[in-house]
Amino acid sequence: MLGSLQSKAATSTRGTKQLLYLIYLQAISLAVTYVAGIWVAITVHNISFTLPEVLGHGLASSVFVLLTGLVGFIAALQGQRKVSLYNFALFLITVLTGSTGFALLGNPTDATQISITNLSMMASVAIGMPITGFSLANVSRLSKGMAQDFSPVAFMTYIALGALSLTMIAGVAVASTPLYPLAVVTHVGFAALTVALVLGVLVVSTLEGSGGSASNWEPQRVAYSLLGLAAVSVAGGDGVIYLTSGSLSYLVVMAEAAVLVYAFLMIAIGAPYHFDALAGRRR
Amino acid sequence: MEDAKLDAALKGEEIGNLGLVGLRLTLKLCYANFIAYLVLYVTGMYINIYITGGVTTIGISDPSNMIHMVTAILNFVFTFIVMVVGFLYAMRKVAMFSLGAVVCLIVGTLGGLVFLETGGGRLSGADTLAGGWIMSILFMLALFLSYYATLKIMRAIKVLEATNRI
Repeated sequence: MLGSLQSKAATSTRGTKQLLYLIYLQAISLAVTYVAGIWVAITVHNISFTLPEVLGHGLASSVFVLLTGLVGFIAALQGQRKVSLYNFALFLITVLTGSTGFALLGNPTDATQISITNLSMMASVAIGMPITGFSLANVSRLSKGMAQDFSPVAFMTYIALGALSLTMIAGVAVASTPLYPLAVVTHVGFAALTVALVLGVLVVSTLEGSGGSASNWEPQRVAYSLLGLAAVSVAGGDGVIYLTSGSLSYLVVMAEAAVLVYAFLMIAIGAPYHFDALAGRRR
Repeated sequence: MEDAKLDAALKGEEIGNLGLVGLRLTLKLCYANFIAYLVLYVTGMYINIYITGGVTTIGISDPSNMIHMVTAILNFVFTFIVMVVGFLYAMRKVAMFSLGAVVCLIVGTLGGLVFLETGGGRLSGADTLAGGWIMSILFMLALFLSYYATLKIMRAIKVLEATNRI
């Protein structure tokens, strides 16, 4: 009986780890989809599905959709309700927004269709960022047998991921002439909010260890939020240089720096290299 | 002793280590997949008979084609999930049948892309027709393979129910 229970527990732990690896792949495919999409938007002017850039973006986004569905279902099998529901919602949104790409391939010169496709695809990337962050942090903690993290820092990090997402959506809307003034103001506003929140994560993470008890202090969180702050500053700097120089290559660098912010924030909330200071001290 | 007898009786049965609840959930996904197959078939036939049946060609942004392609995405994802569940939870036959279906769907999709790219109509030439035939034949093969994978899941559920194993 005990052997059977131990075997079930081992299977469950192995299943959680497999789910964790799938979420890593999902996050990587999301980042690749985003950068490839930005590359297509900037470099390709007469879009067709036989172009290598478009095929690359299509392949990356297909892998992302596939992994999102898979993560949702495997999480459901393991009884992780929230992770499963969020990923299924993301799956449906991504499939629907991905279909606007087919419409664009049929009408490549229609300005309205270009705006609809860019905005909807960016919306799904933007929704995907906090959802993969939440899934990764949750499943990572579960695989290590730790409780869910509802600390102010974790909460602030989720909001920072959300603000980063909204910054990206507003950034894409800048390309649309009728939306330009509103998009610029919103983009800069959300970018400032993202910087403020990442700075907040850094400050609160550092202050956690300044009290009498250093049990909550996590060097990993401090280091990665600092890297996140550096990356978001580089992205902001690129935006300013783009405005003054007009060179599109700065937009690509800005997108890549945004992906780094996303990655550093995810690592800061507990995945994948979580350093448990309290457990270390007990040992 | 009872357990040993039961284990001997279950030898050869592929029940995996997913459990009854997980198997039932996977079966529901298989049913959803069959709905996707049905929609794929109906939209494909609609396109075949009413759009590309005469001299008219079909483009990628045609609404019926978009519904067909979105359904194809759902169909592929569902089949792929069943395959991964088979591999992860020790149901080899489910995994292998679904793997066959996944391969068929990938090659079938490439056939569909050839169909669209080389003209998108019955009178567009031999390559277009070949693309269309590859798509249709492999779709049917994928449907049969998914059906067998579903039967294996149903069998595992029956066995677990009969032996009161959760």
